Amino acid sequence: MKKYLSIALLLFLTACGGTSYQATSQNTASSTFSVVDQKMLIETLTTKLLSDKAFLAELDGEKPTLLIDTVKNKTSEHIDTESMTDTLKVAIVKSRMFSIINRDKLDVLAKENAINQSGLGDAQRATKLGKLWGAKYVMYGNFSSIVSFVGSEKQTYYKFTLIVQNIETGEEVWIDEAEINKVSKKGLF
Amino acid sequence: MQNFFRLGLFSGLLLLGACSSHQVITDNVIKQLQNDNIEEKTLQKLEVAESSNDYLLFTQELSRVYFINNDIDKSLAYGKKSTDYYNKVDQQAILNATSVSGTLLASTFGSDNNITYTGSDYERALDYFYSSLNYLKKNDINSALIDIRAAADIQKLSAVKREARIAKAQKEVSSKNNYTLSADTKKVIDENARIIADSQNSFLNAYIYYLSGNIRELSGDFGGALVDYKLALNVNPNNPYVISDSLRLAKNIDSSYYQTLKQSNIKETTNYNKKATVIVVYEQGFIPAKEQIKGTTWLPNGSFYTIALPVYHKSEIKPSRVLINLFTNSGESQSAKMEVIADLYKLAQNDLAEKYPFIVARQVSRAVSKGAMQAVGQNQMDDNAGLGLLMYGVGSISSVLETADTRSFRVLPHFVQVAKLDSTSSINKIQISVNSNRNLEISDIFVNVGETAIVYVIDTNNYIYAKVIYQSKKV
Repeated sequence: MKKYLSIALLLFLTACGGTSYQATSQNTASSTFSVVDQKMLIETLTTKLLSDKAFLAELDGEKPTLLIDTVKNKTSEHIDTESMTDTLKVAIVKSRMFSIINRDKLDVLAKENAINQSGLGDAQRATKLGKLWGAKYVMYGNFSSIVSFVGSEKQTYYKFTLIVQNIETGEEVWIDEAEINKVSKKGLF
Repeated sequence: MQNFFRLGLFSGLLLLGACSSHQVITDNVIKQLQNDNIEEKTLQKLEVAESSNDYLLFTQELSRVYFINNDIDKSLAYGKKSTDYYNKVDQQAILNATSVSGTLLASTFGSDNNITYTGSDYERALDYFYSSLNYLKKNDINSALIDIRAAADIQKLSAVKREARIAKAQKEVSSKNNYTLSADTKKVIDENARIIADSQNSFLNAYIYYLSGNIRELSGDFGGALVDYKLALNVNPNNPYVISDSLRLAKNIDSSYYQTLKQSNIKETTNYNKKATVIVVYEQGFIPAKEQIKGTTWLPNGSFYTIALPVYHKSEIKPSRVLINLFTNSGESQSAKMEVIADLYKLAQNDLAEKYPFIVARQVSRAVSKGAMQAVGQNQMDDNAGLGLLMYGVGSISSVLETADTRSFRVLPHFVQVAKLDSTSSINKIQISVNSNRNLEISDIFVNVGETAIVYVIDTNNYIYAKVIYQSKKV
């Protein structure tokens, strides 16, 4: 009798039980964009930039002023692109090929904020900023992603594009991109 | 004696109503919002631990309440908790919320209310959307765009999931169709099957696409904006403001699409940088609560089972007639009628309809288990009256106490309307008239030529909240 009583009580108590989770076997760390990926993308592009013969010829042995604009996050995730910009800046400063502009003047920063709300496209915005800060070149980057779904698999293709623009002529003197693909399995419901 | 016991137990238990704590709290929250006196102690009731079954639901409600009440930081914080929760479920586990096999063991003798609330795709997309509006309010258009893109990704994912979900639902139902269902239950199931057949889907939302298009345009992404306007038109092909904006952008970007749209005879809007522009969004009311229908069937062996299903009733509420009057520095004024862009209650109904096969299958499975327990209890009564009565009682109690899962994201608006007005002079005042008998004036606004403002008007069916969400700057 005790046996039946126990079973009955146990079944009744489970009525208030929560939902079961079923762990997936995949390694989630590798399915999302990480700091390691971020460093890899930046290193790839800065190495290409600083060893590009055509670009070095454009500089003509000078050490021009360069404004490094914030890398724009064009993905659907809140990835810290401020940190990406810092990593980019470290690599550029270390090269000693440019005189980097220090953005600390408050009145200019106020105008910069207004530019952010102006609805200008990337290139126009970069030119306005470069002129505002008196730079010869402006460097800006776009970090974008395309998400696609194949069955229950989510594929995210991340692309980092780096552009150097001559403020005076408006010409894009250097541009390249690096990519990385991430795959994660999603629950159906 | 045994029959008397059964009848007494059944009658007594029927008196015990199933009262969802979520509905009681949200009814109170809505009442307070309608009187503009939201109390912290009421909102504290929605604060639950992440381990709670209602965590996602309550954080969604809190984020939306704080958005209405203009506490942007708190709205963002709770919105992030909701989207993080959805992402956590995506990345770390497959939550078996709608699978019979996954939840049956955990809630065999309980109800669907015991299952962790996992939301819906339309709710998830709206979480990102409102988060985007919060970022706009903080003048952070880049973060706003990130969440707008996330909302778009959710809608894209939903399209993929929907096909698989419907196929799986059909399989679940066909495996249970030899079980006797009451006429009332069958009627509700048939009605939901009709909703699925009639509706395009449960997740595509012209409201999100249209505002997303405008936000992209304000950031200078005209190609992306046109894509969003096109998607908005696919869902809601008759909204004149969406057609106007699509026309304007298509003229320069997509000439063949422009020619198609031109046949509509609707005037295209003016480029943002040539006029002062105001986009007005009017959110009306709240999504009605789900209700419960219950059906009990007695079997020849003396046992019975009860099925409790959630239903949305047909709404009698109609979209308000909203007129906007705009005043400028030069003394001129102009007016426009707002137009419905989305019926979010319809999305909620479609979503429930799509989940119905799983809900029914789960209920039937539970009914089988509970009926079996009653039957075992009856057989035991001859050998051991105490144990038999206990088992029969437990099976009966859990059957009668079967309650439908009536939880849903309730503080969302029922209808959404939009309007877009522009002027060659600076705009300094807006008047809003609802059904000709309720008026509101926004005078703390100043939009120069070349600038655009987004104004939100949230009508709780009593008190009306109004605020400028964003204003672009001319450089």
